[in-house]
Amino acid sequence: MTALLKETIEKGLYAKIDAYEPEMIDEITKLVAIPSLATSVNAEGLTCGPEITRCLHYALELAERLGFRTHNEDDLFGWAEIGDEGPLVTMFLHMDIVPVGENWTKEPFKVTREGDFLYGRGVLDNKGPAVSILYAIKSCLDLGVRFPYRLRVYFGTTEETGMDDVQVYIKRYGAPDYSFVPDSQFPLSYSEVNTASFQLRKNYDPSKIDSPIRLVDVDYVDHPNGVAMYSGVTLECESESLADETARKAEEFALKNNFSFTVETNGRKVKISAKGRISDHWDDLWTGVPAIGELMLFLDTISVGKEPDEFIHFIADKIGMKWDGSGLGIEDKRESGTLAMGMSGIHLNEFGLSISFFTIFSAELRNEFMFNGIFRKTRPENIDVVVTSMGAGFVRDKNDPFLQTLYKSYCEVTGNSDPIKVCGGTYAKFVPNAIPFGAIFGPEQDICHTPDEHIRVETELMVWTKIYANALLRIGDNCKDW
Amino acid sequence: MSDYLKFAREGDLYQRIDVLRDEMITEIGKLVAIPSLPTYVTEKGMNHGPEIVRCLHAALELSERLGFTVHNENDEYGWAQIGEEGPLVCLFLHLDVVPVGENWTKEPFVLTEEGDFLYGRGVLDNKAPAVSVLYALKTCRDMGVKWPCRVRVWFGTNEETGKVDVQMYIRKYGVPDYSIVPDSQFPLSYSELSNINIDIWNGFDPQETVSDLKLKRIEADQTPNGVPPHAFALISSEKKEKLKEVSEKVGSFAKKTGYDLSAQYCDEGLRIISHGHVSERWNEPWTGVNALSHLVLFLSNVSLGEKPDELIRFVAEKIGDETNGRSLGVEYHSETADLSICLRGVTYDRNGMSFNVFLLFPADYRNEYVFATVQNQTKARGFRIIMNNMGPGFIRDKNDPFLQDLYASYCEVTGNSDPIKVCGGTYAKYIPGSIPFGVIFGPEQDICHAPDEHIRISTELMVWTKIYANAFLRIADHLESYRK
Repeated sequence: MTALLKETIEKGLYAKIDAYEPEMIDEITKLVAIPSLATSVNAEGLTCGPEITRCLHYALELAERLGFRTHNEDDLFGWAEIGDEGPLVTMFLHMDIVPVGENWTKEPFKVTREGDFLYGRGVLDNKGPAVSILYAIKSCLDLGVRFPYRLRVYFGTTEETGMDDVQVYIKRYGAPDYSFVPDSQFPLSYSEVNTASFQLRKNYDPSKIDSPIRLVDVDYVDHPNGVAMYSGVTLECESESLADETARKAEEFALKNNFSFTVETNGRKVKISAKGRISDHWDDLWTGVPAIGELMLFLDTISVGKEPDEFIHFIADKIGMKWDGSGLGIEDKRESGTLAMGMSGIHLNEFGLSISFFTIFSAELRNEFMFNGIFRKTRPENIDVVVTSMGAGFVRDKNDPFLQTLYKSYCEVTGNSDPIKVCGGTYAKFVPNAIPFGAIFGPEQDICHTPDEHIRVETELMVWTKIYANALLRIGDNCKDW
Repeated sequence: MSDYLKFAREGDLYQRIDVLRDEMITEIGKLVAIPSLPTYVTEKGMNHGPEIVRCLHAALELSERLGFTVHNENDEYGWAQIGEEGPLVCLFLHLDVVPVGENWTKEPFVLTEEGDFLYGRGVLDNKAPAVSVLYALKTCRDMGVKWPCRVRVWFGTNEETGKVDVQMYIRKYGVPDYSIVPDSQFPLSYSELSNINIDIWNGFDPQETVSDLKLKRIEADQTPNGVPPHAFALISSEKKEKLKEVSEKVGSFAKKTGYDLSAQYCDEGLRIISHGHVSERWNEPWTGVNALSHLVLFLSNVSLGEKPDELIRFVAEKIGDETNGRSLGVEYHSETADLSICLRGVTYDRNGMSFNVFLLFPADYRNEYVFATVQNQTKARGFRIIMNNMGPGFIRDKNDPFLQDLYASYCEVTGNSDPIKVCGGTYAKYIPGSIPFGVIFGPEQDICHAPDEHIRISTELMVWTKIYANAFLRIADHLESYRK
């Protein structure tokens, strides 16, 4: 059954891959040296940037050098391909990166090698895996392998900013017969969670609020993990003595509830700042402490005018410090995910007060049902739900033979057999039947978007390449039966 | 495997049902006499009212009289049941009705029998089907059928205004093993469409809009089937000649396009009036003429200030008079249906301007993707999307044995074998695995929510009851084989 795989390993597949190590590091370095950040939005609403384009061009040029045919689709995406017949197997990678951010100790766009580590923005997400895939295929080709299927390596450009590229690709070219996305964790994920970002908004005119204490300003610092760890509210009181009294109440409230508030009084104004805690991972929202929730709970104990009071009470009562949606009646727990919601922002403008939320939940709980649960609570209160994004998760069949083929390659190369997973947001959301497969080992570490992004060479890059080569050969052996 | 169906149809099953005709009409009359309209919203976000509660009580009381055990869940919903153990087969009906509306020639809340017709609000949607199902079940039971399962007739109270009741039920009691929703068409539907109802909103203060021409008001008629038949805009200006220009433009635009647009001077300025007509069915916006679309297409040629222009021009360019969503990028065709889009309304107040848009599409096009496509277009212009509702459609397996049994009962009783369908919005959206089965014959007629709502007695009510009885017997015979 596994003739192609067996034969190629016997011909020295893994040694072949090992020999490419310096060249692979060199190519990763060249890709990382291009700061492929989105800098603008084009007429069609797609994010783009000249450096992203340059990076796509370089990846295609590299692929050509390695013997692939290439295609560039209006600089929105491109692919490298080998083979002329049989089913289409596609790997989805991306060339764009997230902004550098602060606290780097290394050069973000110059790959630094320190011991077994390679540092640089994009080295893990997703340039290292892209090079790994190309060389996995190249190593097979060098050994004379003829794949009994068409093999396409897709390079996207908007993965970090909406994934428009892959949606256009699927619309124009259809879903591949089989595909995987090397932009998540090993061993692989059979499911991705659904996500939704939205604001709840109470519509009123803040300038018309008549109250001894008025809410005049709000601020927050957001975090990609979905929970704002800092937030502040500024209250204007009708007298200095009321300001002092309100400040005292806030301090007492913080003390009683063990919240970390900073209260500053300036004449009739009181500014209350809450320091919460970001969650460990973006999908562990419950490990965070929502600063905005703390403030809402306090504001619910005083009055800042009829409409804001109604809204604040709704938020404090239905959400407050709860992360599981139980106050909104949308709590949901399954094997493929537990619903979690984080308060990610607060806004006060001429249209009223609003709070932003980020939710993740099992794809089996459809976005429609999650939102219908929320509508049930917001409708009677005349609270608007402004939706900013909805991620379409999925649950694949764990016993699907393609998925099992990938899993076997992981197990064989690593000697591990840890269970398959549920992951977050990759291109797989938009590619029917795609499987997120690699490249992080172990529990998800939030190192993709953090400072000093890095990979290991021996225990990661080289192992990935062997797993991918093993999997592509195994697909060749098995795909006739699917 | 038992053989109840053979036994019953060779016996006097259908005669037993025929004998119940007058009793069923009497009971339908009692339910129709209760104007079960919502009058308030409960803490749980459910539209409710004392008459709805009274109607639920009446249905449960009838069920008890017929020998079912009954359950009332806080007056939010209730059920009648036969059988204590085994898999659960559930029929989902509802007792709330839509408002009477105009143009009735009969009393809406008095059941009128005229020839073979029964008239009254709710007679079709969904009170007579409820009575039909109860009597079908009673007849089978009286013939000695012992189901290998529990059969539950569920009565909802919030079908027409949010379907919160059924969502609460499923959340609390779980998904029945087999479910039927007799609130659509015969033979049955294997798929329901998904839908999204959004407002595309441009936030601004109209009082700060700087323009020679000021948009004072813009409004459109809302109708249950979506397409606004009338719309108008009121424009004022300090410069008389500017209004005159607009008035002339209306004339030439109407002439060029053939739209029914006219301009009228009034005290506050110029009224631009657009007429169209409603669509034949709620799910076929292309059969209507959208007065709001025509108005927006006209206004996109006039300058009303930066912020109003931004949104009006966007809507004109991306939606306009289209019902297929092509310009918005959401056009979609599939075996079950094609996507349709309908510009349904407009709001213009201190928050700025927003357009209400309704999208209806096959369930294999995911809501998230439709939303993302729309969002991509609106985001680039700085508009925001207020989500009003999202309907989760579904596509069931056409070869499912339970579905095929329902279909076989329909075919046997009616002698027809017309193909199974795709339908719109029933409780089935919220009940995994459920099948909309009955009760309208032929192409969907929008008579549910129309004036003089009616059913026929001999060719509808009595036939439904026989189909349901036949299906209950078939289920009793085959239930154990469904899981294999």
